[in-house]
Amino acid sequence: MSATRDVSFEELERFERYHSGNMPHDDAEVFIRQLETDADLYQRYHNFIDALDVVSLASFKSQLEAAAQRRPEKPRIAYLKYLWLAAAAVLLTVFAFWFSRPVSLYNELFATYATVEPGLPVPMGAGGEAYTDHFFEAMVDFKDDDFDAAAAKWKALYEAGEGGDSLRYFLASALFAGGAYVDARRYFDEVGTSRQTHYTDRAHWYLVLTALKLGEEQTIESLAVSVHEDSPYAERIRTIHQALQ
Amino acid sequence: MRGESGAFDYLYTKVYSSVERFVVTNSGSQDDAVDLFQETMTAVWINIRQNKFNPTTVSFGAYVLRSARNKWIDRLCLSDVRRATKLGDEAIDIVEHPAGEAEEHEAARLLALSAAFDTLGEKCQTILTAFYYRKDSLAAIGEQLNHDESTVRTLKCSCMSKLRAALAAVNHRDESP
Repeated sequence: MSATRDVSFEELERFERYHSGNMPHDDAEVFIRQLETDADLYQRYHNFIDALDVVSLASFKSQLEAAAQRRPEKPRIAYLKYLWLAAAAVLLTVFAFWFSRPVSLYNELFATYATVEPGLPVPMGAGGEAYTDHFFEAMVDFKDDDFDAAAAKWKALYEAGEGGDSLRYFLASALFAGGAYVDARRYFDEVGTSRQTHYTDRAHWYLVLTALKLGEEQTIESLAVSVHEDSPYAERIRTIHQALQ
Repeated sequence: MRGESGAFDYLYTKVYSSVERFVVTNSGSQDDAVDLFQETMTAVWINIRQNKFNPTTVSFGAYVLRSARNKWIDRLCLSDVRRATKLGDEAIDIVEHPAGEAEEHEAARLLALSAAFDTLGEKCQTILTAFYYRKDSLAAIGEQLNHDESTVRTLKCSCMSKLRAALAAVNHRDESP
């Protein structure tokens, strides 16, 4: 018999029984001995395993593609910019009615503008594998809306002295999403205090939302004055500030 | 099957969104993210098969994210797009993650072999997937295809022969100079 000859019906089912663990113990011992001494049989069994792997991999990929098809189409990023503009136009109109309602204004502005980070940007952070694993585990918790668990994991990394602005921002975002606004402010405050970073503008925006939630007009005024001109949030911050005056 | 579909949908809902966010914020497009995710999941499947994933040390979602991140970093380094990226202040420190050559070779080999499956007819693909991947019984497959059990058994053997031949052809092609 050769390694390249076709596998017989009986031999295929013998391979299947051994591979699936359904072969009686004594038969399995005989089969193993034959594999050790018959190179052609070993090669045919090896080819059988390759075929099983190929079937499994192809089926797995097919299921993955089917899941991708079922996934609802998300708007493209560029399209989202226009959605923001449209939303901003609607909000400006709505503000006109709010000038005469100062008591609930803070809450209403907060409800209008505050959103849980729809998806945190995943950084190419420094750190070893353990840091990365814990970091991403927290990210998965965040995606699962388990904000307390995410905050606890990121806080542990923070307290271990690891990470930089991205970790502070993520921790603050999880605390904010979980309703711990005062705690969140501390970490948003620490983001980019020494220099402009990737997260500075976003943290500044969330500081405004936090102050809005806590009803702190002076803080909002100060944040509106200090916002960077090129911040994508500058216009919104000024709109909120004006609405409160 | 419903449970399996749910698991794949979960992957797309929870894990894919993180991968997409990572790619889009690091010089990539949503199409890049889709490609990267498919590639990553294939690599993860191979690692699970080779017992290289330990669920007691890291969650599956985190494992997929880390793998995707490493693959994307590799791709950025290769294409030299990294220089043009607007990464965060700590983003430039690329983590070293040397992939084992043997692993890479085995993954590439399996991926090349998997093309052989596409050369089979639809009926063969259905039978082999049902029997070897979903572990359906011959009777259940027969019911689905309107054949009796012994016919399915014969067809399965014949389909495996065709697959082996296709695999041999791929191997032969890859070994040719």
